[in-house]
Amino acid sequence: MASSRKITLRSSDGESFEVEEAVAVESQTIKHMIEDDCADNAIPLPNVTSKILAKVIEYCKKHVDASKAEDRVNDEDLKAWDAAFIKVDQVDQATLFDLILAANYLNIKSLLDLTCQTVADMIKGNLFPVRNEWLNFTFSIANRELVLVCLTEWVAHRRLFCS
Amino acid sequence: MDTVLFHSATAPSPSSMANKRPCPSSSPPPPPPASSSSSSFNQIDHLFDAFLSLADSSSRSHSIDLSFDRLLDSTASDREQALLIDRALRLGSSITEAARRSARKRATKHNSVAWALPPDLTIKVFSMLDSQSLCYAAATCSLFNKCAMDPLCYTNIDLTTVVPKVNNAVVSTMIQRAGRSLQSLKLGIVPGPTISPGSSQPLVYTIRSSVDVSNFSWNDKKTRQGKESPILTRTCLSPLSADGSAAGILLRRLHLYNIERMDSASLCMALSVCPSLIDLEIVGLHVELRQFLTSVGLNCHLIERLFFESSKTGRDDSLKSPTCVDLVNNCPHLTSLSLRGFKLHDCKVRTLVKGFRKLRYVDFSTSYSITGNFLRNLGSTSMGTLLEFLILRDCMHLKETEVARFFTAVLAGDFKCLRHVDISNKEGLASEGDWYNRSYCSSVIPFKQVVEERPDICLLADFPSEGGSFSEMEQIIDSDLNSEIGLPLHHNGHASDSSVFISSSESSYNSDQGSGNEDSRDSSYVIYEESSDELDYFPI
Repeated sequence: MASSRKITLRSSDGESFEVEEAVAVESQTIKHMIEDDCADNAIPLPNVTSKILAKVIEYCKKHVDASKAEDRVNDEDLKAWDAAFIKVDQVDQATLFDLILAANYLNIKSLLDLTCQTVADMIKGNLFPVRNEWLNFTFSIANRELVLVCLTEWVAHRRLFCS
Repeated sequence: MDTVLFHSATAPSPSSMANKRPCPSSSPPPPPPASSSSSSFNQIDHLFDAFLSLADSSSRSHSIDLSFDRLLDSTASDREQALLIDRALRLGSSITEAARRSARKRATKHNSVAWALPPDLTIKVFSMLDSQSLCYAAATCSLFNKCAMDPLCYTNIDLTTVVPKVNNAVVSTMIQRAGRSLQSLKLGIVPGPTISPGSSQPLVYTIRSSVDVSNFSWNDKKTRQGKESPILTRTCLSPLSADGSAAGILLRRLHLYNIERMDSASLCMALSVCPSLIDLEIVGLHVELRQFLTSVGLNCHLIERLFFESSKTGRDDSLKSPTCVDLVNNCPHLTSLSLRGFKLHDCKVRTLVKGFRKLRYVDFSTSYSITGNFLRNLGSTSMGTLLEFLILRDCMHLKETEVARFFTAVLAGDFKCLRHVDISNKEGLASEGDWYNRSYCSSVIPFKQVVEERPDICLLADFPSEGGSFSEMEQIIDSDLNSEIGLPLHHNGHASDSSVFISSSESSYNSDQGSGNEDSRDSSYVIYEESSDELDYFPI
């Protein structure tokens, strides 16, 4: 029996979002809160800003709708939608991280996997600049000539690079 | 001003001050009494300031050189000169150390802002990285380093490379880091993605030169005797046994490719500590088939997929019937069996295919001696109902009559789940009688009927042609064939394109001995005239 009860979620900056219960319980955290009867008023989410919460709700809505359709074809479409949702120019890096943190806090496994995989792909694709502490310049992992195959020699080479 | 720097003998020496704290602007060091230390501290600050502003000038090294020389010259005794030089060295290294430490701290701070994830989520991201990228990430900064050490990142270790650049130490380190989290281990040399499509190119690959490693070999000095070898040796899997076999116990997948120095004993030793293996793929190792299968039967009772490709095509004749019987009894869960490049006899193969009750995928490509006889009368066995993939590419002794018999059984209703059959052969199939007689375009095999009555089967029968057009045949074929195939290419290891066709390829393999059959045919296509299942087959 589909309950069309509406749940109110409140972001850290005070904005309220009304969503269907089916969408809200994509988040295991919210699901537990509802089960524990804490959901009479709005559910406060102090760790999630409105901007991020809006995106999370967008994601959950799409996935709830997709699972209702129960169509094989939708699998591919859904994957394509996910890819578009998370595309780097749509989502800047800061937002991407915030999404990971939100998905973790709200315990939405599929969103967490999607976002983490995106970051992993960025690392693989050398899109992520991290400052190298020992080489003293902003070092992207693209600098493969300088980077090791394996860390067994890391310490030795640290000395080599620093000398 | 130059002389003031090196004559600051009243204050504690700058090197010891630098050792106390990296940042002189923070609170003064505890031990000395307050007032005098703070005043001496400020003096040091000024000196440092002056000194570092000196470093800005373009002729810095030159002026420091000259200044130092003048200082030495002005010092009378030899002993005092030595002391001066020593102090300068110590000062220099302290400053360098202090500066590096500060730079590291700044980088760490920058990274902690740029990388907003806490360690547990960082580890989660890293667990999605391949082994190579993981190493790169770990060498970047201390945060990444710490996270990359977590066992969860090493669940699937893939150290396969195109050229040898991994050695035992690398494997050992990674396995140690994985501990009980290790689920999948892939090791060895795999040929790069240049395999020609459509061929049953084996993955066997001989290492041309063991010193043919990339320039940046971080084991360069250790190739002399007694030291670490730059390539994988026979003991590379021994870390699986370490620590009470912590790593081996939960290992589910093991893929080994072209490890020259691996031998039967070490492989069997590794298998003995991996009771949970489900997927085992061994290519190009100098391991005898019988010993290998015995070990699998003894140790890996949960095995579901077995892929073994010989390093010496056709020369390994070691398989014995008792081994087959034991294997079948001890490994009831096997669903996929690939034995490529061995000398197999029909009776032994028959034991295997009849005995494995869940067998769905069978690949005996490039095998010698099997004629296809083992395929007879399998209708009532479990294989008759479960078999989905049958791959017998380039089996030199595979007889066209046996293949025809097999297809007759298929048309009769056996092998209902059959999805993919591959009997392609560079040398054609063996005709009845002497196997030297080759049949390039068999008229006894009911290709067309199979295609019509079982459109769900992807049938590959790629033989060399004698010329002759096949365009009209293609028209008929295309309309019948179901082009949706799920080719388990990762099982076979060869990147055959998934275009489905029965064709004669352009290559003209002209085996002189066996070309007698072709002349009597008009076209290179077979018209199947009778549909009777009881038809006896006569070679034409």
